[in-house]
Amino acid sequence: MEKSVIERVLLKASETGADFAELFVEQGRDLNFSMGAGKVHSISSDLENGAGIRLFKGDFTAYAYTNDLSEQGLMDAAKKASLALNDKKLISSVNLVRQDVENKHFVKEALFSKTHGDLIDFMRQASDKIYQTSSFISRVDIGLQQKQRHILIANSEGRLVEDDRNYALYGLVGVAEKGSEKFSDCVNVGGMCGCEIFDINTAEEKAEVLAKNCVEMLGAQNCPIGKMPVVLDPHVGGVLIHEACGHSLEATCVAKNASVFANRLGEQIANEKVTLIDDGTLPNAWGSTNIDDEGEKTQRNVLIKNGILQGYLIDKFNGRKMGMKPTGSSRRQDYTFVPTSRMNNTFVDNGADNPKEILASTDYGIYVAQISGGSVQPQSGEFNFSMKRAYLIENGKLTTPLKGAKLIGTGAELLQNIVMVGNDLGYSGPGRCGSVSGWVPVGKGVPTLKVREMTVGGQKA
Amino acid sequence: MIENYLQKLEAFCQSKNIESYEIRYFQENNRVLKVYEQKVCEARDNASQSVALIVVQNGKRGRFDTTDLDENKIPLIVEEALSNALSIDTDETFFLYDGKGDYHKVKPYKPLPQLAQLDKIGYLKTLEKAAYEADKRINKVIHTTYKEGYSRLLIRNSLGLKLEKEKKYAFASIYLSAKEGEVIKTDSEGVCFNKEEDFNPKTIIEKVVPRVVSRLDARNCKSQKCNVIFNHEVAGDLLAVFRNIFSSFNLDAGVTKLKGKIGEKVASDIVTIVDDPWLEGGRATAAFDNEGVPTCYKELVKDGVLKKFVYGMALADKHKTQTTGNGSGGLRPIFFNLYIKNGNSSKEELLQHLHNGVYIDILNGLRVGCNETSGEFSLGAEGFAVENGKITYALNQFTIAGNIFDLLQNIEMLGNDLDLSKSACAAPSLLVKNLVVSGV
Repeated sequence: MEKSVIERVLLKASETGADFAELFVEQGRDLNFSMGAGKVHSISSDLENGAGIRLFKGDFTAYAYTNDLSEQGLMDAAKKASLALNDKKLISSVNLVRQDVENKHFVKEALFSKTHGDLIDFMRQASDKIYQTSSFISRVDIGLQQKQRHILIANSEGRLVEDDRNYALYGLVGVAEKGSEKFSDCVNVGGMCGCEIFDINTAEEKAEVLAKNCVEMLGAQNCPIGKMPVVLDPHVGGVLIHEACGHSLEATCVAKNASVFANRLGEQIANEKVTLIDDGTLPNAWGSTNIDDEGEKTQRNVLIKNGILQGYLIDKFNGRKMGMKPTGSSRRQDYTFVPTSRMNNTFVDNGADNPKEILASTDYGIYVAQISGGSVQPQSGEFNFSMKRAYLIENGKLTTPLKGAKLIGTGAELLQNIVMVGNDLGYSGPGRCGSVSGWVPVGKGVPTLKVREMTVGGQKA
Repeated sequence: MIENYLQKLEAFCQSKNIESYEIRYFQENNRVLKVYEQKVCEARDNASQSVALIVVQNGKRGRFDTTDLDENKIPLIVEEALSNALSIDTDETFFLYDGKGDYHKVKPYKPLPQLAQLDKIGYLKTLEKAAYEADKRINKVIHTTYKEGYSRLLIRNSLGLKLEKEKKYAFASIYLSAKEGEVIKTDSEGVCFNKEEDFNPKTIIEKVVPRVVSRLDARNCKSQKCNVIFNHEVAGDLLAVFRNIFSSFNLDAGVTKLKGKIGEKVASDIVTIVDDPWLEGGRATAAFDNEGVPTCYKELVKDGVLKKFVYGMALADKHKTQTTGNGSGGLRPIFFNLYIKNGNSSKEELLQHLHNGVYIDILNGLRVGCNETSGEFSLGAEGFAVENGKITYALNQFTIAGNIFDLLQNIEMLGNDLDLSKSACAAPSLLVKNLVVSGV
């Protein structure tokens, strides 16, 4: 897209008095496969092509999107956005200066470089492995996706940046069956990377573990109910942290004073063992980006250090209200959404506790091995999240496998109740987080964590 | 201009000797307004269009969707859709539909015509103001939003199918919090302008404000096995997350516990579950499914007995039965207006019958707290304690756990409050015995 065209579009959009104008252009391609019981039943492709124009005037936002990327199409969208204002022109010229973006997420094998046949072979081998691991496996479903996006961001302050985002992902779902008992579980593997992620050795390892977990859970007992200590496996606690306190640190709610953590910088909001980081720079991680959706360089943001609140995740618009600088955290699902502050890869930093000692210190409680997500009300901090696989802890040892159950509480309480932090930081598989600016890829991780007490909602009264 | 593009796409399909193909054109316009602190804080005005190409070759189906309507990319689209089809290796045969069936004349949901005269900004301003005025404990109106949209879908295929569907929608909503001392509770509510009262902002306020402030003095729920009333809104949400237990895809994959149970009792005698695409004013009312096949009214469960699974063309062919007009195009079927038929008990009668237990009007974490294969669920819930047939006090978030297949059998009473005006998946209030709640 020519610089002069973009400049004209931004000027057109600002004609009615905007104090800031921005163009976001997104072009790309997707390819998705679905396999069930070892056979491919669906393959679909997409070409995506769209642009959004965003205007600010003080604390007002106007937005218009279109699929027509011709100069005329963009001018029409610019005009539509501008119609929301009717004031004196403030921006009289736009001089775009192209900025280079440093790429941290190298692709070893380009997306779309493998044939349909190669990808199907990969899926089939993973599928076979799950079936072969146990005769109790009654069904396997596999999904595989490749998504490539080229984005361009230009604004009336002269910013012009372009970047490529490559996503590759596969997910394995297994169902085990014995008599009338059925249990299904899944595992996802993905990154901001290329086809190198479709590595059969890794997939077979994941497949085998998945099958064994499904079968083990056929004998699971109902989970007990009530308040009790909870120990979180390194691969799962990230989601808990993401829901329980991550959302409440996003400027989206902090700027409106609609978060339990608003106006509390410098305060002790968590146990001193807790250091919480949101890092969008981790190479090839699913929740990473080189630049955010406003063109700001992605950063490593320390949110809580030794229990003390250090900062929030901030986008340009809310940063204006808060009088704070953006943190490279402005994200959106695609051009049909207005971007706002969101998490990238959120994790609790390593602590000093030995994971074995964490377990040994627990006389009775729940060990959470697998979760399937959750949600939160950022203002009250009330969260819920679902365990998929869990074990009973008795006398410091894992004993009975337990069926899924909810864990509930409030973020503020949970942060104070994290009493042990392991030294075994691990990252969970790729996740998708849904909020006001749509679904965005996020990563999460924690070391083994011990929570003094949480409400567990099982079926065993 | 689009007609020109569609013709070129069609001509290229013909030049490639594709056995059968279908072209779908979708166009949408929508507008959004948000008011915060008595000022418009956001205005959006959006337009989008996309084309989908579906090809069927040797009985296998491939798809390509695009928002890039550059004619030069037509060969890429057709060739990749074709290679997608040729790589399919399932046992099912896929079909396109010729459009020769009888299409029912339907009247789907649409906003009332007086919406055109409504001052939307004024409505939102009044809504925000009324929330603060309704109760001094309203702490913050986090946002008020109005959205309206119009979409048009055109479908045509090489077997002669030619269909068109238009959709109009509008809704307004509020998200707010109430505070007393250190306690904060949040809630939201909305309307979709298909009833006269929706045009008065007080309709939303009268629902949401008493509900949110009533929770400020909530107490903790004690952990117990007890009987429960799910109010009609959450009962509908619960049915929605478990609807795939009636899907032919889940049946074929063996991942619904209803497999092999047609003709058997799978629910309490008072339960009849309907998928009704013809419901007047329904949110999912449609004359044809995503395969262009005419829809029909069907009872999936009648008086507690399982009658049907829902089907599209490919799995119906594999299972040697008829499509129920619930096709998505792929193997997983879709649902229309899905509901549990209305009962006849008032809220007071339900509470009297419950006597002691829990009344639930909010469920949290539904998307991740339910396993449709095993039927197990464990959810965050909010509601009220019921003692001696009366609501006594509000409860802080607790959990509710059970199994949907047991729950269906354990429905003791149905409310008379089924409301299909706001959601395509609905149920009357349900009195259910033997669930497990865990409090803090």
